[in-house]
Amino acid sequence: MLRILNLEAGYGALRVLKGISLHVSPGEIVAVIGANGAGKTTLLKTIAGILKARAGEVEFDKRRIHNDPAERIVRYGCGLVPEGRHIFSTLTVRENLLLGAYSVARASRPWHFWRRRTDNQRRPDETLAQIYELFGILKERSSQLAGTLSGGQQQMLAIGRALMARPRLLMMDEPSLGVAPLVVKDIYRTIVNLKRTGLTILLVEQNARAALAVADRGYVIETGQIVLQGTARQLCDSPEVQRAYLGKEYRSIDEDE
Amino acid sequence: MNHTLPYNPKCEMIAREELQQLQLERLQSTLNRVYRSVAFYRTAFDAHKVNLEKLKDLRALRELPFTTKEDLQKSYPYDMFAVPLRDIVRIHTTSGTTGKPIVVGYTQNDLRSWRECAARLLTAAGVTEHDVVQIALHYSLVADGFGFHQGAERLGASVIPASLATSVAKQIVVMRDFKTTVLISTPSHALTIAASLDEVQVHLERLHLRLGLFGGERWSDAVRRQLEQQLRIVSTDTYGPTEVLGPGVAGECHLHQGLHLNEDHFIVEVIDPTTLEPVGPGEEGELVLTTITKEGFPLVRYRTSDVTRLDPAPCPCGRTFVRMARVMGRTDDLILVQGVGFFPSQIEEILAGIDGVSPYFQILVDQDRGVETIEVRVEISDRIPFLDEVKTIETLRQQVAKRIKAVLDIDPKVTLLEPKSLQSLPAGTPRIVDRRPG
Repeated sequence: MLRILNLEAGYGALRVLKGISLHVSPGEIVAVIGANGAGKTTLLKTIAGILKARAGEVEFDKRRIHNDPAERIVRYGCGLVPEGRHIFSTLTVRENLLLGAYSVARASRPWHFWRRRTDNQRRPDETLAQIYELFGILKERSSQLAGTLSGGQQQMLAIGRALMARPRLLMMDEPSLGVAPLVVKDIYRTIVNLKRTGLTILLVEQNARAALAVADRGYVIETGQIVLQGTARQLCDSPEVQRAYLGKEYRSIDEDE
Repeated sequence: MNHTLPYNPKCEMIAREELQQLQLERLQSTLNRVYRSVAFYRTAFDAHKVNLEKLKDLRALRELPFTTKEDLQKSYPYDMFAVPLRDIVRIHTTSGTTGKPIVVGYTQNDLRSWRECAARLLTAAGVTEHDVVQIALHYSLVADGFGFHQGAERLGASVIPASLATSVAKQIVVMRDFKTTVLISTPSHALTIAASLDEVQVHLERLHLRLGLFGGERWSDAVRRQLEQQLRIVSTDTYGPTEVLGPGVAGECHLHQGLHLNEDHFIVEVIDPTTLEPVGPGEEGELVLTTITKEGFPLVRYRTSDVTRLDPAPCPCGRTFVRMARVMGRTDDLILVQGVGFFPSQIEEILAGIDGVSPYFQILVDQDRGVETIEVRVEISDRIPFLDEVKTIETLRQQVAKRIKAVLDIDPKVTLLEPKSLQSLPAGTPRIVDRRPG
């Protein structure tokens, strides 16, 4: 579904991604793990079109997207839940969600004749109902200001907002960042549920244990290069990963703190 | 017989395009890793001015330097390991205990990939969980027995680690009593078994054998037919040098039209051993392998010294992996006899350590009713006293034979020759005479 070949990107003189190749097949959860500054966020931003690729290819559903603007990539069905959530705290939960459908609502106008007719063209209200079904808490708080939600609820809102564009591939940047361990568990349960609905997920995480527990496959990124890849089980069993990313003292997300 | 599906259809029947993406991803991560953790590769890549960031497709692999057997021998024992020793859970070596063997380390994940590769090969040969698999290979430092063993267990077959430590008679009795359906051995050992059936008075009718998997030495079509007739089995050829992985690198499917090479674990090239350039499609040359999943002992462009050719055409069995022809020869002077590989220099070294023989020798390899034989002819030193005493000569002969057996694990016939009889042969007389057919 997603195929990345020798992707290079960076900021100014700083080269962050030094030739990354990876792929995500339909229905998979793929985790990219790595330390702070390894290039994980840059990778997602480049795929999403927020950052321009300097070299290499990004192919989504056999379509080359690395030169396309971010909003078009969303319309292709490739959504991003950014790190730190970036919700609009002065808007209500419902308003935040509806904003997520902005690109889709626009795209369904008749002059966008080039667009394939997919179920993306369903009305936002329908999608909203589905999101509420998936995240009960968002329905309960639908008229509350987003800024008053807890960290975990904000993360759910950010995921819900990305889902409003009805993506087929959802990219998530550090969904466990800054939320309580117990909530990490909730978020990951949601991710598994999303996979069951047929959604394909590319997950970027420092919390390797949580990510590998739900992922099918994974890549380890170090200083902008992939140094290890394999099934989630292989990575969990790799002593290198255990030492660098799992840490003996780290408790699994199933344990209550 | 059930030839329906490969062991892992998702991998073994992968589309070419998908495979290439997978290979590139795995190659890049392997190269990034070996550059960081193996001094040999870092030095070699730097010396060749290789910029790994510029390696953007599989063809670019050709710009990387080769790794040779000598490189691996120089790394003895652990210098080529890409992970700390505490991450290694198994150690094997290539055969031969003189000189420097190549030491190969496997991590937990390496063992898992190996089991998978061996299980694929066994499945392709037709082995299932209903089979009783008798493995008559070395279970020692070399990887052969272990590779098949793990793969067969993975399939759920009943595995008998008969090894080569038991006598042929015992081997046959086990085969009869345990209702063995699959024999895994070297072709020559299988021929010995076939030849000994009468001797131990076990009629073929009493055996349940249906399949034979062979590897570890070169064999011809003639031997293959002979084996299939004498043991009434379907035979399968396998390939897997210990330093690359062990059994499981490649194996035939039931169509017997070349050995499917597990391309999701290895990238394969065939080169001209003199120019070191890639040969044309389908042409004969030296097999060069790059491992792309191994963690403990990764190899980049390893020259196997095995001569073969590749057939990229899709196989009617449905597997999409490239097929290599049965190994046709060697580019070096390695002699493979009875499943054991050794170099003439090793014989030389052994003889140098024995008083009473000169360093002049000749090796004759032949086949007697399909069984490989080896004869070592050695000159007696002219400095030895009491030459005419039969006892002295017989003791000396036994000493040489014993020493070779102890070091190389092969049973040669040793013939002692008059002093100066080999020295006086005209220059250019081959030191190794291989009379084996095929």
